[in-house]
Amino acid sequence: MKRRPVLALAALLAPLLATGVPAFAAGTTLTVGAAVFPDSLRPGVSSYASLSLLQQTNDPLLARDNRGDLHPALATSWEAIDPTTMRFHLRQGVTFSDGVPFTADDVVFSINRVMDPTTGYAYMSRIGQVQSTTAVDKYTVDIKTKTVFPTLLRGLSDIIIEPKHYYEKVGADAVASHPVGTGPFVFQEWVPGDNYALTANKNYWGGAPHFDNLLIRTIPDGSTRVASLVAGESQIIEEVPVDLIDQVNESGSAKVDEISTTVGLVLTFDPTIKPFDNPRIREAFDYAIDKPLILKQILKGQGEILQGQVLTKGVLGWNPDLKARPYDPAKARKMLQDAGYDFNTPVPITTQNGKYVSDTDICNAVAGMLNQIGVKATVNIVEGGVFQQMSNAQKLGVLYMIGWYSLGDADFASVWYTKAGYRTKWVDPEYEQLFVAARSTTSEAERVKDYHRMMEILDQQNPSIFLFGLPSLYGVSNDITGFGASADKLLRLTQVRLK
Amino acid sequence: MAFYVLRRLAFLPLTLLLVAFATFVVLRLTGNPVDIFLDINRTPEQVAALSQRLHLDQPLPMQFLIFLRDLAHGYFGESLQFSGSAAGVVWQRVGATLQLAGAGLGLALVLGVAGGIACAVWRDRAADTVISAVAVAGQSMPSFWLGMLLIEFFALQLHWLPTSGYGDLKHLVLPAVTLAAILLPNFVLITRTAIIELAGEQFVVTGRSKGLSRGRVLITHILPNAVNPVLSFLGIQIGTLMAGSIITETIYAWPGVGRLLINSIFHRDVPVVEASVFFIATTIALANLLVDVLQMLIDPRIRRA
Amino acid sequence: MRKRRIFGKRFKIAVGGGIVGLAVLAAVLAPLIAPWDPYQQDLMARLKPGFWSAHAASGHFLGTDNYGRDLLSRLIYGSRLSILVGVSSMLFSALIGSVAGVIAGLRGGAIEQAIMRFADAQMAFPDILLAILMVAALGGNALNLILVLGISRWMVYARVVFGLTRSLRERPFVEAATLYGGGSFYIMRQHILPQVMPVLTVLATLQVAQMILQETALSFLGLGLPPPAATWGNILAEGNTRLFIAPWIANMAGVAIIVLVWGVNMLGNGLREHYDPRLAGP
Repeated sequence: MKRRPVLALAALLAPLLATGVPAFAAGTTLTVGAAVFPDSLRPGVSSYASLSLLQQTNDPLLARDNRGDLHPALATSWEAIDPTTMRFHLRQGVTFSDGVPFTADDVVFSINRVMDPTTGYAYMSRIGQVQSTTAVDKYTVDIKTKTVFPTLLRGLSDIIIEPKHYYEKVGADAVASHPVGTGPFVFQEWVPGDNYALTANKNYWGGAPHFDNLLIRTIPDGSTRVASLVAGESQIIEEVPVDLIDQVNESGSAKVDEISTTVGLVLTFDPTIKPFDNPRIREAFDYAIDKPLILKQILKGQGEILQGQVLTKGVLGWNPDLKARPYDPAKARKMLQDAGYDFNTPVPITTQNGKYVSDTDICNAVAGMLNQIGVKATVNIVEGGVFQQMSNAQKLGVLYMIGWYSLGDADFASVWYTKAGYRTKWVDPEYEQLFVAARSTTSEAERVKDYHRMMEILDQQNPSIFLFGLPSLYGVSNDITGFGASADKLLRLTQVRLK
Repeated sequence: MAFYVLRRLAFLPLTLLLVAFATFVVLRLTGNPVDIFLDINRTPEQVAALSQRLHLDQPLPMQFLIFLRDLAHGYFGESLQFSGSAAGVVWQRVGATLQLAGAGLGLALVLGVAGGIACAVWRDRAADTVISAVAVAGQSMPSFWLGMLLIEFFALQLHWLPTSGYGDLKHLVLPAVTLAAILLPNFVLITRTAIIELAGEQFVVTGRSKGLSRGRVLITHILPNAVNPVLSFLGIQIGTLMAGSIITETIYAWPGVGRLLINSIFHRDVPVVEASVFFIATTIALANLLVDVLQMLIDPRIRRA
Repeated sequence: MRKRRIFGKRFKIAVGGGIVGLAVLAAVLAPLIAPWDPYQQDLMARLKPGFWSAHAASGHFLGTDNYGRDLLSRLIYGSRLSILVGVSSMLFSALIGSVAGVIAGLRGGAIEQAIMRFADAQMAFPDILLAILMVAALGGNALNLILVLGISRWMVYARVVFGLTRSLRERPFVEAATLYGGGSFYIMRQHILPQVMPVLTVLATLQVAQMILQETALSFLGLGLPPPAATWGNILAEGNTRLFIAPWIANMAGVAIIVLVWGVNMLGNGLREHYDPRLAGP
């Protein structure tokens, strides 16, 4: 740097003179205030939040809608040709934004890339049972799995299809800094940590968007995000803080749109730490928590109380016969005393801040309620990176709060209570057996029966305290129509119209 | 003087080496980045590949040597969360940070010195009392709270300015004011003290007795000499400026190095943390050097010392 | 003739000292004067304003916070932790800094170079940045916070003490003591410390203010004491996210911080003028 002062100076001045306003050509612009912004556009490497950006430029084979139902995207139809092989018929006449036609080669390339361990694709496990992918002809692909794999279709909805020719031409790094895809929008500019600018894909196979430019800005702070919506700087914001719902609705310029998600927020015990190996003590904790009060006061009635299971209402495998335990602090205290619980045991509850709706608020309220019956509960807030590290080392402590997405199928959430899931140290042989059985059959009735029994085991054994099914809250300006809150937090903007 | 500058420049790598070492040690204390970047369902192949990419398979001292070798080439490694090299990622953010820091510093310097002069000229009158009291109160105000109050008033109530983000001049106003507010009180007080001290010096008293007006003495005798204490204070404050920009960038979602750094720490993106820390430390060290050189150019007495 | 100063040094010491004294008193007497348990939640009465409003929750003079805890009680208890962290970390950094400064000043040579170059290097490292890195690595509890804040500021003392010690080294009484075989520690205690004490006192007082502000900044970044700990930084940071719907939480904590830090600064400035009248401020 010192050796080439002139060059350095020029490089220094260039970003200084740049204004930071994306150079959109004329036209209408939709601005979105994002709560969580991904760190990069590198598919599969960054957090789940990147999927919301990546799916603007790239399509999966099957796409979910706002409620979580699957629809054809780059695959128009599919059928099982044997129990472990699924055949996909691809959409014809689709081109990538650089004009090259989309074919079966791109699908094979994308899935092989995901399965290649050196890629480090974080969502590999979504389609972890895939054995091979082959192109039958230009518009037909067969995906073969190692075993029967009933969640393949759902898993594929998280995997975007990328252009093979482009990777071969410029390499993975260049793709990540300038993605090319078949999606509804075309990449324009990516300013890490600030904004993502796109233009409408006029030739989108699903119909061109009704506005010209899309700007997704990161506004990490909840109240600032609401402020930008109310001030008219953005038309859509993600994750309206629950306490600010009224402020948005009463502003006269925007409304909150709510949808329930499949996230089940739970407090998980480490049963290898005494005395939490005793299921009676875990059950007593459950009685001590006034869930209806938290739902009413902190979540303002948004969301649902989990009924003794990790699954939210309506998910495939949800057990309608189970009920959440009522709030009964006297009983809780009595149970603890009977079990010989030492009330001086420190109970730190580990949680992240801002990862789930009202997470720290709920955690603090729970700690307060446990304090009421004499349990020495405290809240231990850790940052995302640390949480993940503790989680991977399986050292999250006595009690920790986490949300599990089921994405509509019990398999995705129930896996976290198996040994193979590595997320809880609680083990139950019958549960393990049922989980494998449900995964190895394509009969839906069979699977549902297994999941019902698994949920029953969770309810009896209390590896976790099951708290709430969380809502997803979007703030939507009155200046637009056609936007809906999405259960999986991916932005779907093709139907949005600016007034 | 050239010798002095050279000597200081020779110390720069030493300083940076210490900074690099401290960062390296602290970040290694925070644990294994592989645990963060790979999902729990990772395969041993994935772990091995990433460990090798980050040289984590080498013993610690070896890792530090590799780190130093790469450093000599200006290479901090590939960012774990962003695509591309860590240095490149940081470099993309440098413009925003320098813009904010420059605006904040400029604002603080101009208003602070003006305020200080006003205080000194009207020493112990109402203006002095009010400005000084406000300055001391300003020193006592947590800047993130000030930032939120400014957003509420100017963006939400009055709709004059945007709430946050990066863009045209309008976006710069609130962050710059917030950052300036951290430094401004100190500039007021230091300027005030410097002028009042100088006013008692022999040459000023002589100037006054020769019949020069107060204003003339202020401009010809006092201000040129007051530049030096203000400059030397400025040197000390560069660190505060960079620290303040970390907080300010976080409040206003300003896409600068400070927010990048905080984010990278939370994500344990070691190469980016190292590159950002390095950028900040280098900026501070170079700015200090620049201030020292300026001081020597202005005041011959220091040159001789 | 000048008018009599409105804010003389006596005034500053009295007002600053008074504020600090009151805060310390509140901290010591917290269990006696706080009307509520600061950790007692009441979710039905969350985010209720205080006496100024018609919707006030009864018995909560300054209103309640996000969990229906009494804000006044939390502020009173908060003064305990904030003052504890501020003073302890100041003492810790003053201790390291002065010892390092004296050793560098007395010994000179390679030791001086090593210590002072290290101090210089750390000056190029913003204190908050060091604190962020260390809290991220070690985790946030009161002890870590004190250590981290202490380590992040030691060089401020080292530089001042070093300068003073070096000038004292040449003075006859120190030279004599060295000649008669007085050890470093003896000289430090007998001759150096009494001389640097006034400067150190002023510096230390002003640093307490910095430390208290530093704690709030770390809390804002989510790296302070973990909740539900009632520190002013936590109350302010929690209140900040609800500034638009429950402004009193952040504003009360903000005012508490400003008043205390302002008081400490006043006291420090007053003491400085007391020891060095040339620097008299307004």
